[in-house]
Amino acid sequence: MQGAIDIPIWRLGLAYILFLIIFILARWKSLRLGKDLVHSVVRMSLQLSIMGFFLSYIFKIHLWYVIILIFLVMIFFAIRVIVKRSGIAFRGIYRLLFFSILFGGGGVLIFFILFVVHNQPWYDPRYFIPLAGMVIGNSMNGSALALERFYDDVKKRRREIETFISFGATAEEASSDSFRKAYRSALLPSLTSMTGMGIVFLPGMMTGQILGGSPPMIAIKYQIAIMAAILGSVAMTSYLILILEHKYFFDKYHLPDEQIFGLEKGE
Amino acid sequence: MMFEIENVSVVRQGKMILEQISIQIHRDSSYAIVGPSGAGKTTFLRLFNLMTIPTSGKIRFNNKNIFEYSPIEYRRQIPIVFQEPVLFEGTVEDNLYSPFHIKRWKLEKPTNGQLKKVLSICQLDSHYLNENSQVLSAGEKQRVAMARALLLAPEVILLDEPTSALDTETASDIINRILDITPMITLIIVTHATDILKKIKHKIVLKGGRIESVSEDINKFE
Repeated sequence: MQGAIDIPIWRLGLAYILFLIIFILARWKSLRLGKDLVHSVVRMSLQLSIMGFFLSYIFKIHLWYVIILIFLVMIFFAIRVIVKRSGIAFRGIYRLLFFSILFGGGGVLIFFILFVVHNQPWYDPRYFIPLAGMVIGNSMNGSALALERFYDDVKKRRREIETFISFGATAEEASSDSFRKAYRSALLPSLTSMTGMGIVFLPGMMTGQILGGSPPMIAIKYQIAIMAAILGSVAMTSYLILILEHKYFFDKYHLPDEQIFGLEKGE
Repeated sequence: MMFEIENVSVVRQGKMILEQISIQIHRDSSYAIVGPSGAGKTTFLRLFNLMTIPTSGKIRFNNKNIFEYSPIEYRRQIPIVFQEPVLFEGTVEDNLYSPFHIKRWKLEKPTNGQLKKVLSICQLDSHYLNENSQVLSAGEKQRVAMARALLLAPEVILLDEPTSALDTETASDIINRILDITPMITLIIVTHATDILKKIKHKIVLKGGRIESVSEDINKFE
């Protein structure tokens, strides 16, 4: 099959007509979206363009430590997004997220590259970078959900959790319902996405591969495999976050940390 | 002696809640903690089962430093009924047995006879057992929470304003019944109810985070 058709710049410009139509509609209906729309389109265009040049350069370099460095930078930015999005701040949150994504997401990624795709060398950027992006991006979303839901639920159910602790339960035992809810929330988007795949929509990776000239059956194999990796990394990363969160959210006496949750009533 | 509290202070977020508290609590007796609002009564009560951690000082339980116990093992022995008790989703029966579901302790469920006795103390009919705990009144919740604590057959029980949602007569009756079993249980209770105070052997008066007095009189306070 032939490779993807190159889109000349002027034809790409035609795609921006769609943005223009939305902009005109927003102005006409006084939706006050104009500024946000322009900001988002400009930012996306710049970021993707810069990424394009960057990837073109990176794909020529075959140095494992450069690839690992890029991987670590990806994790760092993912952590920043999670912290900003969740609005939760406590001492050690960066460390918690870093180790969870590194071992949860990174572990699954390495397994996937070494044993499923089995590309040589393993650090070939053509495989490593896009796959890492997908794994970390989805781990990032799962992590944010796990972190937020667990924190919100523990805060909401604090008195119930303290009642269990007063019976002689550990913090883990007392907050097990919160753990379950948070874990479920983290996995649900990936599970829902998988259910609609192939019927409701063709996923982006598969679409990209087909457009790039891959036979559909090869594209489908990659898609199935990457979904397994994505679900695996979301599951592992979220699990690690929730397990490690206990150490931060509860002190050595199994009581909710006052710095994070404030004082209990009556104190 | 059951508890020995020695020069315990509790500071939270820079504020002194309790200051240099020292007291001895003897076995099989009853103690009321009284004082004006904000005196630190609830914090003081929570010290006994490590739901509040002292900032400084020593606490001994049965002649052993409480920090030598594992906190979860320690708390299991000293149930506390909070001022606004929490009942979990499910029936009243589910709530009564909830501490027994903590698998690590492998506690034997109480017998029917023990259950009946505790229900009687807390003025709960057996028809309550299948009621949805979430639709109970505040007074009913307090009684269920007390029953839940008593079912553990503890040596000591901590009650924080356990009768605030009950009418005087019911409250007095329940406390009487608990006190009937005082020879086998040490009772430490935060209360303002004078009818109940009359029945309690020792009164600990707290003011401004300090113990003002320990006596058998009801001290007046504003």
